[in-house]
Amino acid sequence: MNTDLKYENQLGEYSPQRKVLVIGGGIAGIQASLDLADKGIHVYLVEKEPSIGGHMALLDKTFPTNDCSMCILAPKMNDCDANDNIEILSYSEVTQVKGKAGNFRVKVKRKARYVNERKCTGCGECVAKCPKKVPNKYNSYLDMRKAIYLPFPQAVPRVMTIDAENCLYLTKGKCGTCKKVCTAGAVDYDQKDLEEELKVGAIIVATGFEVFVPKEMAEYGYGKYENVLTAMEYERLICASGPTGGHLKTALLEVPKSIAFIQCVGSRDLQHNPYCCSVCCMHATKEAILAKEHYEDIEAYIFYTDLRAVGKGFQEYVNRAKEEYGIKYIRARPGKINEDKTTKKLTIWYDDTVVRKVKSLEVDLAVLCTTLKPNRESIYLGKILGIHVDEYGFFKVKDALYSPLDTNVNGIFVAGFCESPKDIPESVMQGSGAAARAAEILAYEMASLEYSLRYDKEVVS
Amino acid sequence: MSFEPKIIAFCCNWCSYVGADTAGISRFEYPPNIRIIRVMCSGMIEPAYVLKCFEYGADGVLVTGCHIGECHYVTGNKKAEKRIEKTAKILETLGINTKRLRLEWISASEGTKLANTAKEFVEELKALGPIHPHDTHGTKPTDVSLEEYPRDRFLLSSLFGSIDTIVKKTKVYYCVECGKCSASCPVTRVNDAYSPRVIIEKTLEGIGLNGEIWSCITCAECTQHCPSTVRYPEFIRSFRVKAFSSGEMAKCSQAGALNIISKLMTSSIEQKRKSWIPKEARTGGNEFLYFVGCLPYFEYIFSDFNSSLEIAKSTLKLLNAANIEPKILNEERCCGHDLLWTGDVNTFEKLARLNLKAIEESGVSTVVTSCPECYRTLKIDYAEIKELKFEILHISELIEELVKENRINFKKTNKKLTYHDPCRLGRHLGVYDAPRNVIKEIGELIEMDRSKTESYCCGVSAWSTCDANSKEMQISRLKEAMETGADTLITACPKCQIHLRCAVHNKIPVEREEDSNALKALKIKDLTLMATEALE
Repeated sequence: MNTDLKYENQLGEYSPQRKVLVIGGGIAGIQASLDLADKGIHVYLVEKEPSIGGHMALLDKTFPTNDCSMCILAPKMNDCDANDNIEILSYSEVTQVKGKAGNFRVKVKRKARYVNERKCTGCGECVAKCPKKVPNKYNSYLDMRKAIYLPFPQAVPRVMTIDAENCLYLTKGKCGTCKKVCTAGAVDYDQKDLEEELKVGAIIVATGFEVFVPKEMAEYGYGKYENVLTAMEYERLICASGPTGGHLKTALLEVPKSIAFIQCVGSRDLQHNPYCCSVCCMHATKEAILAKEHYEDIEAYIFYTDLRAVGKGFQEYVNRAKEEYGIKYIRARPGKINEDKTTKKLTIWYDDTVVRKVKSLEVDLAVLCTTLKPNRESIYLGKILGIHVDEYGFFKVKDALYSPLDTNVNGIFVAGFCESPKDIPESVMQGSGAAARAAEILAYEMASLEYSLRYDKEVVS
Repeated sequence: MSFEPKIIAFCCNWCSYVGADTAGISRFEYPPNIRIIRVMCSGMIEPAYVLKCFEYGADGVLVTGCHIGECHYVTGNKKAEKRIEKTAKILETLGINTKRLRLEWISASEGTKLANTAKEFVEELKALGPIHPHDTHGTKPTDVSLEEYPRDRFLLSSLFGSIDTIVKKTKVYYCVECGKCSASCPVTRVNDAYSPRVIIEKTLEGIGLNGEIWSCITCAECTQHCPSTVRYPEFIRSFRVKAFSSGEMAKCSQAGALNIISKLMTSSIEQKRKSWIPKEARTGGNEFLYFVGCLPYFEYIFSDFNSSLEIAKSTLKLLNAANIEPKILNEERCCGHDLLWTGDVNTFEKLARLNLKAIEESGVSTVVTSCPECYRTLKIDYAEIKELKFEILHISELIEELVKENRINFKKTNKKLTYHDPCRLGRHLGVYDAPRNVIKEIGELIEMDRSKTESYCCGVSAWSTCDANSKEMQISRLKEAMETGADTLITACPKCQIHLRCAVHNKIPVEREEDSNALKALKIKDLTLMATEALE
């Protein structure tokens, strides 16, 4: 007989669970789920978006190796889908958590996606026929998707989702095309939000980050000047699966001849985020290299405050960018970007602090490497879970030196950017680490319970 | 001891000074109360010279020059006539009897006239008594209780500290030397020898500062962008206090007349600053106080190209239209903004205390200003001296509120208007939307590229930074306004209006003449005036 069931029969709702809840389906959450599944532990992987993958799925390449991001991530996503021990609850949010280590009872809201997950085959016939177009969040709103959609081609689970705010049938009662064309009969307009209760022994929080939108930093004109982009928008543009098929274009649809990357937009800035986001020096370097690889003649500039290349192979990567690719690094935080109204070219004003002179530079595109912030919802989630959150929204750990993954609640662990700024490899490491810690807790709870069952019947009564 | 008035006589080099010599050679006796200062021409006696004499304790000022038609510089004495007329009006507003200022034409041969004029003037002044009733030696500040300055409070306390304290209080030590300040500084853009970052760097490294602290226009654009939140304008202000106390002075335009006027207001001489109030206006309510500021003085000093009192009159009209009868105090004094920002913190403190006393005694609950500089000074700097018992509003905020409450209505026209954000109202206090909402009630608002937090300064602050750089900035700003296609540039600051109008009025560098002629087509108007014209 399965041990879990044995205890469940004896203890009812107090039985320790050999199951783990992972909140957040980014790279840290995926890694934690895969590790736990391999240990034979059942995992519920909760993701608020229709697909797992997180921000890594949006990136073109990764530093410092220039590996294709999706090529590394997609197999892992598929492994999650194929693994019998992992149950992906996409388009879902955790709403309540009760209990303690070994036995948490978790309520999960499963948002209505108006498509039956079991029936949908992901054929895409409905998407082709849907008449309603809406800005595509996956491509940083640079192109359009349909009201029924698969967020991106490699999405897991491969199930369509209807965006209820924009669907003509759900908003106005007209249309109904997707239901007509669906041969699997998966479209279900009557679907309601469901609440599911899960029992788990441990929880791993890996909610990642959100990208700062620099609209309030009016000096850079983001949102006003079309040629000013954020780094995330640039990632989508330079990506072969992006809205332009990997081609860079200016507002006047020309190939840019020069591009500038501005670091620390909103980071190391007491008016916004005082901390260093830890990745923008490197991703700007990578993005500049990509620009050079796509267009040999392009002039690429990086405006940095301090170049923080602290990881393995990072400094070499920067040196290569300078020597092999001829990317120009300028130590300055630009003060202002102005646009020429007719040519749409940008003039960047900066104080070259090495030469000690205020200069201007004309470029076709400017990319703002904006800061990364913990998810807005993390404070709310922290309250649900009873774990502490710091002033920026990062989850606090018990001890940064001795137990860097444990929170103040026994049995709840954190991994990835939601704990502190970090890059992909470190997030993966923390995912594995948190999985190990969770497994440890389950084993401990099991063992202690077995001990009490054997020697101290009072616990049960 | 009988009262012996002190008289300063400015004598022109060519006629009157020789006239005085003639009196001496001819042994005509005249009272020794007169101290003669030889000047090249009576036309060079601008208001500041006369005002400075009174500030330093003169009981009378005599200006003498060649007879009309005999000026060595053809029209110098005609200029003198105009200037003295202007000066007399300022004196009148200040409450100084205009009889204390006298203009006489005395030729080289008229030694007797000089002696007689002197005798007459002394007698007249003896009858008037000393300029300050209780003190024969110059003006004396009114007695106001001087409590201990709250030195622990942030901004003002940094004014008195050591360089270390200034560095700490204005967060200079947070600087990461990223250069965002210099890259956004409008002064650096026109004069690259000036760099806020270099000034900060020098201070941190213990290298003394020279004249560069006077170039800052304290527009706060650097602070707006600074990732380290360095309070640069306050940093500059503290250094100016240090420089001032060691004898270094700002080079103010109008020969510093406006600062002298402010200083004269610390005396107990009773001003006559309410004479502009139209008869039909209703004043004297108990709830609101209209803090007029220095508008009655600007009216005369800048009379060539600008009327400042029309702003005051419009404000009053607007308030009356909403059935508000504001109190207007004759005891009101200059808020002290310009003195504070040019380093004269002691006089500022006196003015602040006098104003606070007067406002508190008036018992009003709300103070309205039409000048953003008064607004900032009252709201931020006065609040650091004493906890304020009244609310302070800029007129744009009040109009916005009155429109919302339907107490005031405007006729909407199809006029195209653009708006220039004053630094004090915008970046210093964050009021961006109120004036815009009012403008939208009146006409169509077209924004300039540099607006709100990115607004471009009018080029001058505290009258101390007016130079070629300012002109460059003003013309650039006006061109920007022109390019929007708007008919009128709206400002919400009487001083911005003066500076922008001055740029097109005169003294334009030759190479700029073409620009300035084109710019003359652009109307520059104060928000209150625009609103009054649109009243239903």
